[in-house]
Amino acid sequence: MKLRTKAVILVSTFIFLLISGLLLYLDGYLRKYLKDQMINSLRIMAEVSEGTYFAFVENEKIRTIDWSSDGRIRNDTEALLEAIKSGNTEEGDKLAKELSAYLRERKIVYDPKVIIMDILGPTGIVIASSREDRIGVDEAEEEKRLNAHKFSFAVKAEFGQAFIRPVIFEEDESLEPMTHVVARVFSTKRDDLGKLIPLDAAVLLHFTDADKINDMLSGKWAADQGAVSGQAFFQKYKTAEIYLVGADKIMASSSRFDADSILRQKVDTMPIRNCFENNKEISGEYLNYSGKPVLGASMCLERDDLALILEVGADEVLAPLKEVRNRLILAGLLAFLASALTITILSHFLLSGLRKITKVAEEVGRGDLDIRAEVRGKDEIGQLAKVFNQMLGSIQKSQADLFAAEISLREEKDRLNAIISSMAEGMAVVDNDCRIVLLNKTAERMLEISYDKVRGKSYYDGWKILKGNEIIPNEKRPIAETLRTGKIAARELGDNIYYQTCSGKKIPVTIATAPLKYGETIIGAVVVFRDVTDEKRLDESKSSFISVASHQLRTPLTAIKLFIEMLNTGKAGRLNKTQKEYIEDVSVSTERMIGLVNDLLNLSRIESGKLKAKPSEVRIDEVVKSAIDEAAILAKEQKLSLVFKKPKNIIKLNLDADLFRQVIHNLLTNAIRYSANGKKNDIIIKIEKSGKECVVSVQDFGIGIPEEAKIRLFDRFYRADNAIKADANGTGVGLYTIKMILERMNGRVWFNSKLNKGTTFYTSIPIINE
Amino acid sequence: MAKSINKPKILIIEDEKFISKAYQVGLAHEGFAVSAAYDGKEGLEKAKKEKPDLILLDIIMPVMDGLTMLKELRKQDWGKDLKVLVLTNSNDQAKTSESAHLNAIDFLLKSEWSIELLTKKIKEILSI
Repeated sequence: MKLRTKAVILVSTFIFLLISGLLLYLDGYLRKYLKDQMINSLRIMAEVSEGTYFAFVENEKIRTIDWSSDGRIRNDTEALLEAIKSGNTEEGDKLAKELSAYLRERKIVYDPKVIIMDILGPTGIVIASSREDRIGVDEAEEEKRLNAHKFSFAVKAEFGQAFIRPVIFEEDESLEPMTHVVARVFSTKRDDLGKLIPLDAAVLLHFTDADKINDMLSGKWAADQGAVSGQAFFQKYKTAEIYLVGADKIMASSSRFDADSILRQKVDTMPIRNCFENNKEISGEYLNYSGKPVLGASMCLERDDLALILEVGADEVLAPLKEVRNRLILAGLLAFLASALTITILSHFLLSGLRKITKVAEEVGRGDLDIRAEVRGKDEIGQLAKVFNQMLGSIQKSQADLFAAEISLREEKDRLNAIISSMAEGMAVVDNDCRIVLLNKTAERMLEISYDKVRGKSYYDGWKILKGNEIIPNEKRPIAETLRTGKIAARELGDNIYYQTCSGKKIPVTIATAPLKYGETIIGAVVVFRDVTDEKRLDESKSSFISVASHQLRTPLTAIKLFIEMLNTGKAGRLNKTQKEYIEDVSVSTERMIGLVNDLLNLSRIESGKLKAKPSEVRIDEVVKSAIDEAAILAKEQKLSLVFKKPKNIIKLNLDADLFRQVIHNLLTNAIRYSANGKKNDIIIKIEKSGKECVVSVQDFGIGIPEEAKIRLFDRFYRADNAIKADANGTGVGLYTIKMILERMNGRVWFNSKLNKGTTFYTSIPIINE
Repeated sequence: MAKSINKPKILIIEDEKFISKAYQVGLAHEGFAVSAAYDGKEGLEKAKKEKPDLILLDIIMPVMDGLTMLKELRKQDWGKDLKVLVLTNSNDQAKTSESAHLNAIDFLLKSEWSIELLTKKIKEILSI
């Protein structure tokens, strides 16, 4: 998704949520506000309407009290009661007729709202009436049956009290609903307390204007009376209505929407229940008689068993809220669109730099490294472009470097390949799992193998390696040794090693394997091997020459030696003195000749590698001591003493004792031979430990070594001039042999010497295990 | 064992006549009963016939060389325990070890051994 799209979605969502939240809050707040306002208004209006109601009924009460204190009515009623009491029926009927006529003709005609005026006796029986047919009707019974009026209250009342029963419907009396008001009739006489004395009669007025209550409550009555307003509320709210409900939960005034609802419509709503069951006035939201949600307020007119209800449909009250909500949604939508547009434009402007960089990056991806991002400005994108361009620069540079390096590497590789393929030696390279990764041409030819066929395969499966006639197991092959130890391994001519090709051909080889290391890790090995068929042949002929020569030279010498011995020991008869002297001379010469042959053969063996050191753990002092013992007779002859300075501690070395004894023996014979006429008649032999070496020194005080001889001293057959003078019989191979032997033992030999002062020879052998 | 006059019997197998002669004379003078053969084959026949107390065996010989003869000898019931001292002028280490393998008592370099020393060695071997 693009950055711009993301920004637009993010900001738009934020604004959308913000507006939605605001809308919800406002909606809730306004709803509550409107409701509270309306409910408040309704309660106030209900209270006002209650007042209006009271005023209306008070009007009727006053009319009733007024007429009950009419002098004619009072007097006639008193006389009538007297006649009835005395049982004078004729007089009673006459009086009743007269009073009824008075009521009909002189009273009710003055108030068109009054349709009937009754005079009730003490038991509630009509004794006179504007409608004479009603005389004898038992109104007490009607009160009980229909709760039509409040006669029972009126007969106990004091002067000035009237009791109203609004909204009653009696078909025999009127076709319209009526209001009944009762008041007690009093005489003009007063009692002891000054109160008027009541008569045993009451006046009952039947008003027919019950339906007027609606007009009055709704304000129509006030408007009719000339008030400027009065119906404003009901005009404004089409669902607003006000009505009365009786204790029987039947509407006691007609609904604004149904004129026939009076005394017919059942109203069992929350405020009605509260009024009649808990005597509690309610204002709030609830469902009205027809199940619609309304806001309303109630007034309980307890004395009259009425409840006054003022309601407005909730929908109508909250209608402005809908309008507000619609407008808010519209505004929110506009804000949302505006913000999305703003972000789109803004991001287009802000991200233009990034787009340029992207474009350049694409070009770079296609291989154009010369291109640069043209972005100005010091903001983050400008910085990014700058760094990006710098990066391109360094990429370009490193690519050029890489290219150059690749060329030189290729040249180097070609050169190396040329060298490897033109090598006279066979060469193989393996990885650290001993799999072949390179085989040069010489190796392919020698081993009769194709590199392509063995590439990546195990080196061990390529060809076999033998020592003499025995196959060397893989783990003992030099390559395995190198891969294991990381050290160079070599097999020389004398090791008698052969490679065997697939066809079974045996090739004598010398091998050198070297590790390939990356840091300290062994990653493979290089094997270089050489076909030594010719050398082998040469070596064999040399060996057989040595063997034959040693035999052939020694055989006649042995014969001479043995016969001289027999002459000497008298086995062939006694010899005279001169004969004996000459035979002795022949004997010395023969022994010298044998010694010479031995030296030469020894040297030949060492040089050819046939002489193998057989090391074992020995005490160096014991080896040196045996050499000293061997030379003791010779030293004694020359009147020299061998001084042996042993080491303090026992030093054990791993070496070939016989070969090392020969080394010390040679040094001792030299020291003895060249110590004649020395300053001192001692030869000092010393063993010392020096670091990881054991040094054995032989010091004499003889003729010393001249400077010019020092460089060539270890050369084969070389003898210093002063040595030749001192003893003509040396062969010049002694020191050479010592050097060769020590080299095989990984040891060293060196010397200090001063002409005519003496010489010290040092030999050292490495101490491997202490 | 001492068939004639209790002298220890020594068989010298040596192709070089002068050396053989010197050993024969020298050892006889030291009181041994000496016989000689001049190649391995002859030596094997004589050894079978004479059952010597000790054989002095050269290595390099015509017809049958010393090591071949020793191998053959060790195959025989009568020859497998015969005492053999190898005396040679050849400096071949391989041959030394092979003869040791074939149960030779020692391997001596002829040119280093006088009759006197050899007599001493033989007497040591034969516990005289």
